[in-house]
Amino acid sequence: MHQMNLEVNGVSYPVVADASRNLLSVIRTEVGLTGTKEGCDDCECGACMVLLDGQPVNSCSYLAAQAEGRAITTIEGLAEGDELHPIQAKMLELGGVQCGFCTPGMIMSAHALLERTPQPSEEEIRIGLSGNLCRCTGYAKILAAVGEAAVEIR
Amino acid sequence: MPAPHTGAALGRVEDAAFLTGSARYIADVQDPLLEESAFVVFVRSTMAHARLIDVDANDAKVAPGVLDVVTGADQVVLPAGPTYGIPVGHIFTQPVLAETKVRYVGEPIAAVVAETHQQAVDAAELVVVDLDPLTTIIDFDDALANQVLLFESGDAPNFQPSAGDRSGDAAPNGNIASEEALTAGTLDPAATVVVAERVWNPRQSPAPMEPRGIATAWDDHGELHVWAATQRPHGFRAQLAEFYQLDLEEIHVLAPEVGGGFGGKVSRSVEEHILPALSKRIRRPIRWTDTRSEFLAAGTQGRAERIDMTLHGTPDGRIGGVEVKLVKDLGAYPGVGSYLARGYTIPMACGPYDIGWVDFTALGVLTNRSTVGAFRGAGRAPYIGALERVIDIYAARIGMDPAEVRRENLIPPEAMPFTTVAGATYDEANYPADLQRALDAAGYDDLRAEQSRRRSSGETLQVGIGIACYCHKTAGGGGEEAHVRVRPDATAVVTTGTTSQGHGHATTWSQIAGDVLGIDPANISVVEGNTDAIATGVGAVGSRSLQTAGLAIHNASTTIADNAREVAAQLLEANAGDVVLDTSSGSFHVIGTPAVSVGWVEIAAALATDSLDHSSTSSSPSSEPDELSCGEFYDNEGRDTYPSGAAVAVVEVDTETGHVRLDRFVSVDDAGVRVNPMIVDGQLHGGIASGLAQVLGEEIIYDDDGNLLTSNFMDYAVASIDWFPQFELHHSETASSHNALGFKAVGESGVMAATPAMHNAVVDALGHLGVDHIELPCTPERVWNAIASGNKNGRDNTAE
Amino acid sequence: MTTFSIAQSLDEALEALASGARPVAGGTDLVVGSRQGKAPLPATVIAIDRIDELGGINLDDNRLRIGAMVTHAQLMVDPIIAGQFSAIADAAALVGSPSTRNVGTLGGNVMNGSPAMDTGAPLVVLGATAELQTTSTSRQSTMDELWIGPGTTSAADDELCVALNMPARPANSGSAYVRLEYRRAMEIAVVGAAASVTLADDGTIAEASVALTAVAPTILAVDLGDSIVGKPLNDATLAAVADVASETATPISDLRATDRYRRHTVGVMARRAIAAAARRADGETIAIPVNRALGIGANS
Repeated sequence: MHQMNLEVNGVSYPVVADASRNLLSVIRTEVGLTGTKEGCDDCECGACMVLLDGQPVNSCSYLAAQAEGRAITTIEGLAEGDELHPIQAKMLELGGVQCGFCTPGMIMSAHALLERTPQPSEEEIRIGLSGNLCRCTGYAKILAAVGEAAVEIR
Repeated sequence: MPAPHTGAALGRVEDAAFLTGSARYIADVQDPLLEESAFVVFVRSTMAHARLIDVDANDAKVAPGVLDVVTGADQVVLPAGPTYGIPVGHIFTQPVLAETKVRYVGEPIAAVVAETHQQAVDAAELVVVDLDPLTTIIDFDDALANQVLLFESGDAPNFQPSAGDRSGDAAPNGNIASEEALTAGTLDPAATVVVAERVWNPRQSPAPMEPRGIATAWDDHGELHVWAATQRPHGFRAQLAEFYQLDLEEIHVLAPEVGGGFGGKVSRSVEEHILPALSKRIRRPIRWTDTRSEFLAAGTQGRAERIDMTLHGTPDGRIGGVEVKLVKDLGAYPGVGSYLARGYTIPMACGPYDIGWVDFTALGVLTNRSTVGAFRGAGRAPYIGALERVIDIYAARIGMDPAEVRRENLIPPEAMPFTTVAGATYDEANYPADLQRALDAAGYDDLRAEQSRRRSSGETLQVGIGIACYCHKTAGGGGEEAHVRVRPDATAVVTTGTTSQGHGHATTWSQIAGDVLGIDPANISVVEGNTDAIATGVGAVGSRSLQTAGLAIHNASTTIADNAREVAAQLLEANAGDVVLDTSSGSFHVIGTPAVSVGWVEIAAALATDSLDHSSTSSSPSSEPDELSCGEFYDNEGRDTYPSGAAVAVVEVDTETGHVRLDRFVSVDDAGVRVNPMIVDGQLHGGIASGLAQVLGEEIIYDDDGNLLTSNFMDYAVASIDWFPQFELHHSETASSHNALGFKAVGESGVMAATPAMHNAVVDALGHLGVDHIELPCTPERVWNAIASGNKNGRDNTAE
Repeated sequence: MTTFSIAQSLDEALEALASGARPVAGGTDLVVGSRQGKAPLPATVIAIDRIDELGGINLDDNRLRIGAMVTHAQLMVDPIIAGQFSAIADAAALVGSPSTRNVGTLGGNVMNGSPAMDTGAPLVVLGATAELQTTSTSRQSTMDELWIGPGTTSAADDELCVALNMPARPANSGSAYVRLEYRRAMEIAVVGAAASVTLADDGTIAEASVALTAVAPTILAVDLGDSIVGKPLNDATLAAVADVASETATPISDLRATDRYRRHTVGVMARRAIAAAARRADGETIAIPVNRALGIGANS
């Protein structure tokens, strides 16, 4: 077993787990934050997206132990108390959520995109979210929500 | 007075949990009954068709953490009679674990239960399965030839037919599990032009982002508790009751948040049915969730139809009749797919057109692939796709614009409601106007001019314009129950037997009830997916919830408002007939005297203090006026609605590589009265994306040995955000007369025109090169083949 | 059970490799492989993504050195790479999605040896060598020597790829990578082609090279012969490049495409890559990735 200290949403979690465990399962089980989802087993769907030092990473395909010493941000770390982050607020207002299963990963990718590119073009939003699959929405309202959130944040 | 909430693009009341990660799906569910859960992993067949010789689980049984290993020989669920609710012969019933044969790659052979999921995975690797291969049936014609049978006498030695089952021990028609036919109307003798095309509609996976999942526990009273990612909690409960010979009241099914369904979570699979037995054996709760590759291999799939369309038309563009020979691949064990032709396809054989003659046969045939069940647009999208494709071929044959041919044949609005020769009665809509709007919005004439310019200049990128019209049968009859209760604090609770997997029911139901009760939707909570909360339910299948549950909620709310008006009248010392509910404020007052009013709080308080004469409010047997609550069952009595529309797709095809790019998608959809236009748009967007993906490459592919080649999202290509331009949506909103509120449906509508409009556009781009058909999906290679050979089809191997 | 550690220095990593540990950079392929039951995780794993010596993009008068742990995300926006070694940036921008580009490294990709890797053909046309190091040795290996089969390299188990090196670019040169995609994100190349072109003062082609993706057991360098060098760039010479590329390819048929289709389209891709590289050599700025800028490979 491997001892690691994971910093998730600014909180330090000492974890003892097999070194072969992926970050997703450790966040869900050991850390106990289940907002991050598992939708596939090979890095294709993006439901497991978290931020490592602000950059998007598929947590299903990343060793938990390798995340030690990096700042991990999950969907639970985005809202300030009851106040939704502008990306979350725009997703609600414009109908970007349907079943909600892709939503946490989608928002994490959008968050990383807007940090990197505060004024994204539509094309840049498409590229920024291209690693997150959604079966419900056809992406139209997600695209609109992220675009408007960028304006809001500015 | 217009209702204030219906028609408003209200943000969803249920979204906060989804946005912050606090929504609980099946893998996130926590409950005292699920503490110390064990995990099950299935050992699955690696062969598509084989005799099961032996399963050696000895090593697995002693592996670390293993609690139980079960095989078909253990007969853990007896009797083997029940059929997961499938309406075909019991002979085709899939054993919960394979007994004598396996019939598809991925079929469960053994269940390994362990303390942790990883231990179960590791132990499953130790189970040794001895299979003796049989000839695999993949090709449709091989299956129809009945030379090799999937079900033979003696295959199910433990089979115990239930009372009244006449299927006996052998399949009556070999591999043909269902057969339907309809011949109706008269063929116009002037319809002398005959065009025919074989249109394949390839297999797809519903592929919700959340795979399947279930957790089961038995309590101290011998009652069964089930948490399931399901579209049908009540239906699943009924199946489990039959399986485990329990009363309905002894089973409690709860659907937590469900991460999409699309027909893939109708809970008719063996994995979901065996869990209670496994739980009982180890006297512990058990959890199971699919991996993505398991879902793609062993979850139910959809489509899988081969439709031979023959269209008879006049030389001047009147469609006289259609001959249809439809063969649907049901997979190895017939599922919902075996019912679709009868229930959905044949009734709408005329599509949105006034067609005088229909000659339809539909066969459901067994092959060694995973079961075909429901998938968004099931039984309709493939047929609309084939009809729209053959109409384009007909238009080309007679040298008429494909828009003009459609205009000539669409049922006119003045004929509505219209009963077709196939027997379906379509509700109100204006099909020709919707087509014209789509053409105008797309700028059809300009697009044709650009196409002709590119053709004459011989550019590498050629333009294609595709049109499709649709109407489709929804609901499929039946009804839904709803219960509405206004609480003393003027909030309300709506409970229904249908469920939401992203449909936004909580918001839509709150808007409907809120309009009647004058209560803000934010103050109305919705309970669904819980068999303890309401006695009956069907669920979210076939675009049915709004036109059934929506009416039930409205009617129950109306009864409560009427009852409350009686109470208000007493409090206001007026005649009930003179008291009205101001729905903008949620208060009752005498007509003309709004300054003096009573609200829900006062009415509830008055009822609680029992200071009223109850004789006037206890007349309605189904209401409980003292609690301001009412249950209603709404039966649509077969008055299904037929949402409709038209679409134009514009593509560019790279003639050097065959690559297709969608430039525009314009649609006009008539979903009837829209409760929440934002949610309606979202449903259309999702359906359109799914329909377009089928043209661009989304296809479940098996090799000739029955091995699944598309077992992950790299190979099974669902659309990502960079596939499409922005969709251009337009709406008609024709109220249906088939229900009192004018509702239709929208959940599956987006798919209907998307696939054929884009499909027609791809072929249209290459019409000048002699191409008149390309099979779906129109992969670059297939398109390039069609260009290179100047022939149709584009597929080297037409065997499916 | 797996033992895991994070190397803080190159020496520490090399010593761990000498003792039998396997290196992990982003780890994606390793973790996905083990989750899908393809191969268990190695018994000892050492993370090498935090070693300073393995980062950095440095260009001097003669040579470009890209640290093995430089990510695709870094490559696609780096001004040196995008400006002078554009084919690498074109390829890096097409790899996977933002998250996989963020985690995936050039060294990790090179050592996977996939014939479908996007950055492979650019490295070949730019004359790259892999710098392989052990606790006691250091050598340069050409890409041709390194990749010996699908997923197989000639590197020893204790050799670590520490950098990719390539000559500085001559004047009037340009490069490009073009990929035929069925869709954009998360796609494995159906076929792809990289090209490098140097123009003579009279506008003819002074030097040219082409390498192909996903049409052979390894990335395939094309012998252009006299098809284009010394000649002007025109329809005839471009067609000759397409022909020689198609003839060189030895593709297989799989789920994505048949050999026949791959052979045809890799010629089209080679032609489009040469044309784009020549435009860049002529001083034109074409945005990264050229696929999307010109709409020549896929949905763009």
